Amino acid sequence: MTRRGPMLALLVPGLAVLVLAFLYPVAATLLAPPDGDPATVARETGALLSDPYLLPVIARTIRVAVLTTAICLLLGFPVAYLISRAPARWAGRLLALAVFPLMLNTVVRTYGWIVVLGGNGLVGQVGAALGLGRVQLLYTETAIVLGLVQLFLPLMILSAYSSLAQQDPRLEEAARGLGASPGRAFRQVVFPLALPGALVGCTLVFAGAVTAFTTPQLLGGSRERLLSTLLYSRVNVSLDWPAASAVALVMTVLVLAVSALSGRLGKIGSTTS
Amino acid sequence: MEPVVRLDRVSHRFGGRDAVAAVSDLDLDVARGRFTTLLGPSGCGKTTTLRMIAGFLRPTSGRILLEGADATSTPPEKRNIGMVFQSYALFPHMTITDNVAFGLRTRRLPGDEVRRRAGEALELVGLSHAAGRKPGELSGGQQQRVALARAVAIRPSVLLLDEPLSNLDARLRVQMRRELLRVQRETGLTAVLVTHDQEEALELSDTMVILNAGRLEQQGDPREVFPRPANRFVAEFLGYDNFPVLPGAGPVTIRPEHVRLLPARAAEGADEAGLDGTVTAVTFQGSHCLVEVDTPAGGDATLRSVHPGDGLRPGDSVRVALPRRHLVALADAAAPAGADR
Repeated sequence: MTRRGPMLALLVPGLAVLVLAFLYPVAATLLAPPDGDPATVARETGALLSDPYLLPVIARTIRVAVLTTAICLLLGFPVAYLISRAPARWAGRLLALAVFPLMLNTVVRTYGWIVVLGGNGLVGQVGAALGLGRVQLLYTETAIVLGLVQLFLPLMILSAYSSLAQQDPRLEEAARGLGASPGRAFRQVVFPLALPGALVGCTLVFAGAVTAFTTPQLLGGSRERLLSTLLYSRVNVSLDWPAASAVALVMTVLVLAVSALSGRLGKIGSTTS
Repeated sequence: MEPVVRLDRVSHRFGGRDAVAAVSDLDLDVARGRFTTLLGPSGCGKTTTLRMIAGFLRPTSGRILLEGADATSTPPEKRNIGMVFQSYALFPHMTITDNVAFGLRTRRLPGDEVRRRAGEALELVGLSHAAGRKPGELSGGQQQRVALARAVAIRPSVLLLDEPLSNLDARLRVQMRRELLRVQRETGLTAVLVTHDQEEALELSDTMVILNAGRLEQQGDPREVFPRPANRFVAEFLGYDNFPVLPGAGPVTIRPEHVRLLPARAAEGADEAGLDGTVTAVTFQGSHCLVEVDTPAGGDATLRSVHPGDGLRPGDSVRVALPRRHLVALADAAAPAGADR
């Protein structure tokens, strides 16, 4: 008991920063924004959840986030697997290459997509050459998903890699030696054991996709609103703080729900075969 | 009888600019139902050889035949091999039963046969009571027995054991050796074991294959190989510490326990070679002492002798007697172990 006191004291500075600089502002904006109180926020949240114009925005946000997460998992996990099995002197370089997009500014990266996806860009020209007429991907949901996948793929690769790199490669060999095809060894041994990393990656990508602003704003325009761009316009265009808080509340609940779900899945994965 | 495994001039080079051959032109037959060990120091190519037999590595050149058929490019899952790894490599997310049943399920056997054979395999290694547990709940020795059961359950054409006992402590290792031999004898399986431990190889092998720098140095029944090492490398590896230079004789070797120490100026027997020497060190080893003797006449060689050690001190003059029937003639005087060949 006597040693507990000093140990707990070590927590105080970090805890203070967390409470003052994170929890308090979050709670304040979510529950009692300027020109509002919890009751107004609750009313605005009710209105948001029953507004026939805004419900599709929530649905689109979930759809975009789920699609982005699924595509990142499908693309990122195999890459992480290959890097984890590459010779040590290659693994570092490949990992650096995979993470490189994180070092570019989001705005620069997103403008790159505008150039590629726009009517006069690469996609438009290829479409015209193939006789498909005017192909317009820019300002569509597809464009948003493409941009978000590029943005968050490194997170998935890193998370999955951390799990895969810890795995004894002999486990896969043991499965192969016992008669499992490469596909079966992957499904029954490699993937289940790397599930915790993949789930962390999914949670990060999902949360990122729900909250990302620049990419949906630039690639989705005002036609394809997501919760994040809606939030921005509530704050900066209509200056309606309680309504903005309602949007933020929905986003927060969405992210927390998915993170709880992945925690639950991780537990199931570790206790059953 | 046709060998279960045949290596036909097999070589393996690991990639890279200065590729060194891990295995060079190795010819090897593994006899059916026998226990074969690949013995050698680290880097001698024994594990590379085993991994080529398993199919985890492709030979750079040469052929591998399994049951008489060319299997050089057959993937591991089609080779019907039972592999036991040094790290156990049990699937941590599956129960012991599911681990043992894994290879039976990939063979699409009916459910009741899977259960029966998994149960039998676990019984064989005495771990039926652990069937429902996870690998993490078992001790190292128990995990290694599960790994053995998992490999045996599929009735492989050859059981491949990659230093399976190296992670166990000394007492358990000796116990597991007996266990391994019992399981191999009871199942009648052909086994190939990789080890750097000569004691393990001597105890387990029907055939002992000694490798050095990717080449075969000597192979045969340990009862024939041990008393008759073919060259200096094998002799040193098997604990022949002495390489005296005797007038009028080629390279020879003799084990320390056969070297007799006599008082200075005493006469050796008629069937013994004698050398004058000076004791340089006496090391207490429990039941005996190891005495090191410099013998200037023997080409400056230091000879080691197992001796009660009573009364001998560094600096004492002695007469070293080497019984001729224990002197083993070696094929070469060349390179001691570890040197470039």
